[in-house]
Amino acid sequence: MTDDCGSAADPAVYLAGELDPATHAWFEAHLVGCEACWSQVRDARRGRALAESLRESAPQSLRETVRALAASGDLAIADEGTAASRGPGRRRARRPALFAAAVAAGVVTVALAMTGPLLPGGGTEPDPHEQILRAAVAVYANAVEVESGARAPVAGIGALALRSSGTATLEGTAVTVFRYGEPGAGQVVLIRSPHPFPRAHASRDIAGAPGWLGTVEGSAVYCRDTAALSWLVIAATTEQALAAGHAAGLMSAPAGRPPIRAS
Amino acid sequence: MARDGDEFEFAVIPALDGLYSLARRLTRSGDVAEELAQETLTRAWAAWIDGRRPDRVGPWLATICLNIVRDRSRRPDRETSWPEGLDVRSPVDVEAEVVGKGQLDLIDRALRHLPEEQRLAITLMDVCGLTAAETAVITGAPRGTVLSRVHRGRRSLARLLDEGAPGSTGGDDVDRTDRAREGRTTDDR
Repeated sequence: MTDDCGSAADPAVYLAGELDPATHAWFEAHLVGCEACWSQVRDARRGRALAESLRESAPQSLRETVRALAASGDLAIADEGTAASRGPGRRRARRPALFAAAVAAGVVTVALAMTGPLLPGGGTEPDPHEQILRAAVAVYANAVEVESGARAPVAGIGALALRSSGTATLEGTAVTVFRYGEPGAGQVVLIRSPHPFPRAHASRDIAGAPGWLGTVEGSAVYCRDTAALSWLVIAATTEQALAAGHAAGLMSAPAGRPPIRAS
Repeated sequence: MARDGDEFEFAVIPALDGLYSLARRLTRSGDVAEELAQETLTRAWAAWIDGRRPDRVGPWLATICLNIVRDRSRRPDRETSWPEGLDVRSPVDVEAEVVGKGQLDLIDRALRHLPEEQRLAITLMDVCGLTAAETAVITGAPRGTVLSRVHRGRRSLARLLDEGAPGSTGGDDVDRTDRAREGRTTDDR
């Protein structure tokens, strides 16, 4: 393995972006003429790209596991009736074995019973009628950059600032996309369309508010149709989607009322 | 309360790809990787409702996952230990219908050929997407050592995979000044 030429700069430090500006500039010029350092840098970049190509997307079952675990919290409260009756001040006793057993026994089924039709049933085929909704969720999930320009309904949603806005085409329909927050760090996407969106199969009405709330491809979707426009709010959880819909002024709650909760 | 569950979902779902990628590198088949990831999530949930709130969810899940693997490797369970050297994958791993899978197989084998510290550093940083600082915490090594291991490991990977094709280095005819300037943005953190 060729080593570096003994130059003043370490190629590893250069690649980490941690050389001071003067040394960094010097090293880049040095690379032009030094075979040893150049091949190091080239190989390291290639190796990184090779390793990154091993990244995989988590299968859908893992998302379902997370949702099932999260839902099983409520279930455990219902189950541990005797524990709850010992008084409100008592800290909820948790047995990790309960959850391991619950997952092993297929707690996804139980979670479905708890929350009704909102969770997707096992084995359903994709509904072609919902293709545009899936395309919308793909925009949310893939952080596809869109050209900028549109005026957003709000500058921020809670702690999430508007990051980008622009247009995209979903199944032939030109829509406007507003992205708040960062993918991977909690983001919300608003999509505005001149045409109504289809209603998701896994969806339900919301008490006291217009629109519907549903799940598409594992993401939470709130949809509001007005006379002129149709809006989608896409987030990781239903609470987030509802809160974002409210913050964006889509739910017409009078000022001072708390955010509307799903029934 | 429902809030615990929603917070957990909100925090963990963005980190699932990184967790699964890590589990995949630690096991020999997709099924076992999935089961390892589910065990990791179950333990993470138990800690969460116990009040545990990590600063960064990615490294937290990676730590839980690695701990499970280390626990298991002390028992005679060969499904989830670090394979020694070049292991031949079982036929169930070979998803021949997926385009490019053969190439991923080669890369994976080359990765398993590296010394353990380099392999782990590359797995956490390049495959799982953790930072050098996060990897340093998980492995207990100084950050500079992590950077050095990743650097050596990446170079070895490139050599292992390119040395079979003479003249395939591909970069020498291109103007090096331009190539050097490609690196103007930070490669690592």
